[in-house]
This record gives sequence, structure tokens and C-alpha cells, in this order.
Amino acid sequence: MTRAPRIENKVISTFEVNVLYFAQVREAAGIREEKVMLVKDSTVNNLISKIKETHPRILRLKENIQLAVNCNSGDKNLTLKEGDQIAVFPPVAGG
Amino acid sequence: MEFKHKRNHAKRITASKILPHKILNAVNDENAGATAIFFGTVREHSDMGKIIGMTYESYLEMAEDRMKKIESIISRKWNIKRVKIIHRVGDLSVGDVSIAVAVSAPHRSEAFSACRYAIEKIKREVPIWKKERSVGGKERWVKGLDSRKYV
Repeated sequence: MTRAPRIENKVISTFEVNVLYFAQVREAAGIREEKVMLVKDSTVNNLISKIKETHPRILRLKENIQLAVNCNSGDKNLTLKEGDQIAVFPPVAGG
Repeated sequence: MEFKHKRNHAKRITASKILPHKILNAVNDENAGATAIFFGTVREHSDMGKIIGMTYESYLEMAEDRMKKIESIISRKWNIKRVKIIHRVGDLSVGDVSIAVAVSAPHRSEAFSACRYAIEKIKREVPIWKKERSVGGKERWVKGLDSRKYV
């Protein structure tokens, strides 16, 4: 866990998660993988807001975007922790 | 009868050509009287027109994990002896095998049912995506099956 500088006498504690993008989402984001810094107790929802801000082109995709946290289908209210791996991708189309 | 996990460490996602005889050998079992194998191949025509190939990508860790789970589900649901599931990634040409699902069982009924169930589940749950490449250099992602919305 990394500590940010004091802001108004409060220590804001942050952590990093690893975000992976696949297929159309990867192309829209223009990146395959990145580290995203979040403040303590951030949820999947908070991460989604951050991703939308950084990569607005993802919002223009027609596909329903899905999410996995550490290889499991992610719940939006799940609290994230240091080192979590979050994957963002369109509906699967293998076979 | 107990399901054999002997080959459970095997790679389920590969960049190499899928060889049919190796798939058959992988599910060989002296107590099996039936083997059902499904091969998915790259088709020349789509609604985009003539296709020269397909590019597959996967979320490797999760794909392996999901495929492993599907293997254990079918081994609980049916009396089967062995299962081998392998999906290819990278650039494939028309006619190339993209996926193989092989199931051996004492009798054909279980082999067919388990094989069918597995391929349908893979298409809905395993994080793999494919992009069609057409003659003129045009590319298009193939629409996926799941419609859940998260973001």
C-alpha cells in the first residue's frame, strides 16, 4: 500500500489495481493493460467511473461491457484491494 | 465411476495448430466405448462476405479457469471417462480448427450429451473473442453471446 502526501492534515491512503482490456474494449482504450490508483475502500463502481473518465471511447461501444475481478464475474459493489486484477471486455465470442 | 484428472495440467489455450489425432489420443481410455469430438473450424463466409481468416484473442488465465470448471461440471453430470478441451488463439485461416472438445465415455449417449453441453457452455462463458478478416483488408469483431451489462 502506498501513501499519498497529507492533504488538509489527512493522510489519504491509496492502492493500485491492474486493469486488462480485451477485444473491442482494448481497441477503444488503445491500451492492453494499465495500473490504476484508487483510494482506500474503492469499489468496482468507483473503478468503472475512473475508467470511463480515462477512456471515454469505451462508452461509445455498442456492446454490453463486462467485467471480471480476479477471473470471477465482478459485482459492482465489491470492494477492491491492492493487486486485484480487473478485466474489462465485450461479450465472449469463442468457438 | 471416478473421473480421471491425469491430464488436468494440460494447456487449454494454444497458439499452435490443433491436431485431430492428438485430441483423439488425449481421451483414449480402455473403459470407453464411445468418443464424441466436436471441431469448430473457420468458415469462409459470414454476413460480411468472404472471409480469409479469423484472429482469436483470449484472457488466458480466466479462459483456462473457466474451461477447467466446464470439464469438472460435465464429469459430474455424466458418466464420462476423459475430456479434452483446447482452443486456439492467434491468426487462423479458413478451414483451420479453432476449437476441439473431446469426450470419451462408456456409451455414446453420455459422450454426445457431455460434448454438446461443453461446447455450448464454452461459447457463452469462456473469455475468447474473434475478429473476421476479409479479402479487402476489412476487419470486424464477431458479436458475442452474453448480454449482461456491467459498465
